[in-house]
Amino acid sequence: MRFVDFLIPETLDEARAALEALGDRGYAFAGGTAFQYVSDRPGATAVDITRLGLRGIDQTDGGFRVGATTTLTDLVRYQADGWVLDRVATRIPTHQVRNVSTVGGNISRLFPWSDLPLALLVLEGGVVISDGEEQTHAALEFFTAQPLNRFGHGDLVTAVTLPAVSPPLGFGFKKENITNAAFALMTGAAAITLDGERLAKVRLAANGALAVPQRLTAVEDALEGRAADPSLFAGAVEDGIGGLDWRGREGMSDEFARHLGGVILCDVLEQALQAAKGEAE
Amino acid sequence: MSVEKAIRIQLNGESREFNVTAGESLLALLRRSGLTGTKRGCEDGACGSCTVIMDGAAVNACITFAFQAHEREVWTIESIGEYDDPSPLQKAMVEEAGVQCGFCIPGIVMSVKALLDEIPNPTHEQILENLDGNYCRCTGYEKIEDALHRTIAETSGEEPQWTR
Ligand SMILES: Cc1cc2nc3c(=O)[nH]c(=O)nc-3n(C[C@H](O)[C@H](O)[C@H](O)COP(=O)(O)OP(=O)(O)OC[C@H]3O[C@@H](n4cnc5c(N)ncnc54)[C@H](O)[C@@H]3O)c2cc1C
Ligand code: FES
Ligand code: FES
Repeated sequence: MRFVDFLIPETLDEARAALEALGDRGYAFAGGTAFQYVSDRPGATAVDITRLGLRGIDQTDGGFRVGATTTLTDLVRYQADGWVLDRVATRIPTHQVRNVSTVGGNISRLFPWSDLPLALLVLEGGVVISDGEEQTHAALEFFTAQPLNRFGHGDLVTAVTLPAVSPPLGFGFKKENITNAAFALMTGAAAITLDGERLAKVRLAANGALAVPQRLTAVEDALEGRAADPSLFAGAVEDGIGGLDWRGREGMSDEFARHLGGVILCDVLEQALQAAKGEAE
Repeated sequence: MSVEKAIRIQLNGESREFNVTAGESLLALLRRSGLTGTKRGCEDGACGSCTVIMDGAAVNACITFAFQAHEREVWTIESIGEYDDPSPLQKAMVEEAGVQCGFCIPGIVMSVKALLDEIPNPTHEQILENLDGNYCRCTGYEKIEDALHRTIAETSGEEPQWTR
């Protein structure tokens, strides 16, 4: 993206007003690391949103609220019981990119490699949008389409929310890339809530070899209510992912992408089950 | 038509004012200001040869827009040592043969400096994670690790947490 102008507002109201006035030409600009992948638009103006006081992580009742301009490095460094986003952010390359990339930037414009949306999807997190007033949208609904297309002029993501993860809720995350510094070939995330020996709730999502982060509801439906037995995972995954549009990249065939997807999804389900049982990985 | 605006950067310890356009990268600004030690490699945030330190954190100057540095502190390789008076890391890089063609080295030095400023005696895992952001096409990294090991021993005053 070639910008023709930039603004550096100091308050949320100023930033929103600028974006509203600019309309289609205005772009919220956080870390700025994604704009090399965005096509040019005449008259594009960058509105820097990193000085609005939206950076920081707070513990809430049962979970966390993460400000939109919190960097991925902040996510890696934060430590608290039930915090899992460090496991996701640490796999987003590189440390230089993590130092400036923000949570809001990672979730507002989706790419095949976007990792944080997967965690928010399976943990049923929330996305807080300000159009003057803050409203929290369920991640399950927020990520059903390209989020940017739903924003009105001047709307900004101000935070995300997510639960603290502890048994009987367990989380699993796995990413495959050619080198640690490369985009994901395939990423999977799972959350399992146990009710005794039963899988009370299963949430599963994948990205990388799919065009955008997606929940895999067919697999979830096949597993929910059944015994907490990892030997059921392979069959449910195999039956549930065949109809998806798997796309091989970087030398992978589509068929290999589907196979890799299956392996990773079984792995993250197993991780989530272990964690839900309170067993160390 | 691109608008030019003034920004102020605390650059290598000196307050400097620059006129920049919105599309200008921090890398382009540094290089047109004579600070050519910061190298232009991939220009898409992958190779790390353009690494500088902004507000204490290593960043890729190629995908950082110049205006992002407004009212921030930026340190480049030129601030680290002199030809006749290299920093311990620069000296170790040369003496341990961590430098071949040299193109990646300014970025590696800045990236490692940011790490050691924060964690004077990092684990081997932290070192490898740091080097993930810097490609070296020549050395195979072994000699660079030798240089890092020696630097950490010299500058932290402790035995490094890993062995060579
Ligand atoms: C070499 C490289 C490798 C990468 N690998 C990965 C990877 O493996 N996995 C991964 O997940 N990501 C990866 N990324 C992507 C990187 O993490 C994203 O570019 C980043 O998360 C975007 O964050 P940003 O703050 O830079 O956003 P920006 O580039 O500033 O913005 C991104 C988009 O979101 C909009 N936006 C930003 N903030 C808000 C807000 N608060 N409200 C509304 N809209 C907003 C912007 O207008 C823009 O359209 C990689 C990037 C690079 C350069
Ligand atoms: S030139 Fe900046 S990362 Fe390669
Ligand atoms: S010494 Fe040549 S690229 Fe590293």
